Amino acid sequence: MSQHEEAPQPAAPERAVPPAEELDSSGSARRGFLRKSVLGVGGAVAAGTAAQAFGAETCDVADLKLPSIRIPADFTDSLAESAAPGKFEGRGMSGAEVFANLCLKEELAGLFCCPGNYTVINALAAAGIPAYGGRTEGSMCAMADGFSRATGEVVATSGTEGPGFTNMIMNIAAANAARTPLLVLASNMTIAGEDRETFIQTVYQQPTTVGMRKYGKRLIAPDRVHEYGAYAFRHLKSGVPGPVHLDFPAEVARARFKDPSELKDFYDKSQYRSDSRSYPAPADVKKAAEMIHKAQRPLIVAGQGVFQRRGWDALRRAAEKNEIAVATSGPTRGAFPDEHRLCVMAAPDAMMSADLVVFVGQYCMPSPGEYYFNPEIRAIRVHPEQEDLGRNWPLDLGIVSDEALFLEALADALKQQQRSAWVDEIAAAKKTFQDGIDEVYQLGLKYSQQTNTLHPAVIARETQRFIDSGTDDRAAIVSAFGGWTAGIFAGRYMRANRPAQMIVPAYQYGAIGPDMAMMMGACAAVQRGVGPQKGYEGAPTICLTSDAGVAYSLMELDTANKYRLPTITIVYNNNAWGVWPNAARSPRSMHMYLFQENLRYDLLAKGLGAEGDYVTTAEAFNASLARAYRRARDEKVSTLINCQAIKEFTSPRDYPPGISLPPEPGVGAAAH
Amino acid sequence: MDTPQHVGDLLQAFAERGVFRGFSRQRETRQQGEFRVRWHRDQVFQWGYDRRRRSIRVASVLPAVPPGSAMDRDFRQWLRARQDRALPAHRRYDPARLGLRAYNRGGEVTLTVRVLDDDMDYGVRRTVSLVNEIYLDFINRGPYFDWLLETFELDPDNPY
Repeated sequence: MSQHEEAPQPAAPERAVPPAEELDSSGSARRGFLRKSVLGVGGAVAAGTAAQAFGAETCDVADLKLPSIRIPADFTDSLAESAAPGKFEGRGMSGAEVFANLCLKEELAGLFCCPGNYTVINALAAAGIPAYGGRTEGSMCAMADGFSRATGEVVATSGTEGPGFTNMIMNIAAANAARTPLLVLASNMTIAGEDRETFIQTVYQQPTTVGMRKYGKRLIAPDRVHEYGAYAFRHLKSGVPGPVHLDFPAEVARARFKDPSELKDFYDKSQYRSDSRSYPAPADVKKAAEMIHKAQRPLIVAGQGVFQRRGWDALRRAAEKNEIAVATSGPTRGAFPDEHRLCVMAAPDAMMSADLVVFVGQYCMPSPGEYYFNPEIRAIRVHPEQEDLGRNWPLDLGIVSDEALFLEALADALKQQQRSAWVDEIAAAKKTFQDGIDEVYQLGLKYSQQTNTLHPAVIARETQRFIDSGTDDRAAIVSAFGGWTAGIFAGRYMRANRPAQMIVPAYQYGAIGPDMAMMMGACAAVQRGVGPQKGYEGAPTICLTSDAGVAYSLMELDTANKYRLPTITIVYNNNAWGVWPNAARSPRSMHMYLFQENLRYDLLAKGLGAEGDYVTTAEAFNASLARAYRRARDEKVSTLINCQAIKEFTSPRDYPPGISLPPEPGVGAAAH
Repeated sequence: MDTPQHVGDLLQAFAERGVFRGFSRQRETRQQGEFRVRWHRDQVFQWGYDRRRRSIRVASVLPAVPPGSAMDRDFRQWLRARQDRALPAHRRYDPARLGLRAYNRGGEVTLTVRVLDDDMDYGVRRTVSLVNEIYLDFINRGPYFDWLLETFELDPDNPY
């Protein structure tokens, strides 16, 4: 493959990337990065450039002249089309267009879909919603989730009725566990054909998502399509977020409206939902501050709500004012920097010493015994919904409040206080943890040399080292880790130091497989500079996953490449499902846990228009990372690095320490 | 306050705060108390208190640990380290106030904590803390994931 040129990305209407001069004021590191990736930024907003082909016209394979992989002109021409939202005039608006216009006004941040539900996805794209089409609905749903985890924004996913919709299920459930504001859309035959199983694809959709959504509705009255759009966004943008599932029968999607009076409850979002947030009761804030002042080793666990409500500045102000330790928990990481002196994410021993915990916006609540806390710890919980207070974790004080507003009020109420003993203990605990993982890394290097394969600790540590010292701006790189063995090791070494710098694909639901697609969604957010990714446009993303996991998302390298999403995927290839030890005492079961050995995922990547490397040593891995980064930054081409390993690295007997559970919460946490 | 009733009250307070998932007082005499505690990995632990010896016993705190095995040795070393002077005071099991011992009979490790001073509250609270650390620190952070799954018949996807 030779030159890779810029292709336009789906452009967000009225949300252009700021000019480089404007971004310069935000910091020298970003300036340096942006200078080098200016082509990428331009490409991201310049919908309308000419269609691009991949390199040469043909390539030689075994002396055969084969046509090169290329992005079709129709693809880039389509991206360059201007938005054309539906209007009442002329033919009037379809139900799908009415809905699409509402989505536009609600600033729906993106649509990730496969064809199907045609009337709706075409209307959304025509309205100007940035849209991405891919290869499987499941992965596109994960991509939407990844975009939202990286930004906090509402995104949509869509598939055809029956098959496309049911392909999404795992990733709808993953989004539900993560409390992602995900709008799930699917067509659903006709109301008139209900129960007749006419032609193909009939399925009852709404019962399928019960238990994995916040709100769901099959639309049945065409003139209420706007009203139900309002229902959807009221749920997506209020309280604790979560997936909303709307299915559109043809009678609704294709209905025609030539005048606003034909639609019921057709009014603006300022009337159908409120941005009002609950302030904490002053007495509750006072009591919380008193409890914190009395505590010797207080700790805030900042959950997903702190990210969703963008409370990170208030969190930092409160923590620093009173020297309160902080751990974060959630599918998005970095709301408090891992390297901050008060952060205990890589200091589990300090976490065990905390005598007061303040859970703020922890939507997925653990039970006592799940967190690395001592049994005498007292607990305050802050949550936007009263009915969740006291669930799972017994409380000494429950406070109903918006997370960011609570943290602001708390920061105001707290006394300036120094806790030097606590700060020293955190520092010592960090050193102990670091010494421990350094030791495992050294063992991993030894095992790698012995086996001529790559130990997961080596892959993880070298990846973070590359982010820290091999990239133009380490803050620009959004990363994630997934898989079982790969994820457990990676979490210990990889760090997040600014909001949404890391997403945790496995968060709570533990799905193996959506990682790579989620990071493509996150990459789309970075390329467009949405929300906390503003200022990092053009930066590649890095996903460390497993051979088991990559199988679920690999085909989307086609999607990443055609939209010029510069992703780097590192595959820990141990020839097996990571849970293979469960067959160790069941010899007739082992075959079910194993793959063919030495599979070449890198070659598959090349076949999809991306780049691929196969590595077995730390040196080769580092060189591959550097090449992949340059290609991603300069040419917007994705790379898959296939790291050959052996399954026995999991075994504490053969390769101690083997695998162990990471403390929760913390840098390696997967459940919380 | 070193009566079995007082020890039971202290343990019950942990149950009422939701630390234990279940608790009952089995038997309390002037000299001895027996208590059942449902806690980590949904196990029921038998706690005993002997007033004459001023000793708290947690039977089978670790099951299926072969005597003399690497895990057995690691656990004893880990237990000694809980009394290390290098630990902060709030994390340390003060050797001047508590005597920690582990017995392994037929693979069942029993923990005993002797309270060496008059402060039974300290002894009970620290014993609760010690059992908590055995499960969150010694087992989780050590190379015992496979042991954990086999011993407690847990699903690797849900090892809590």
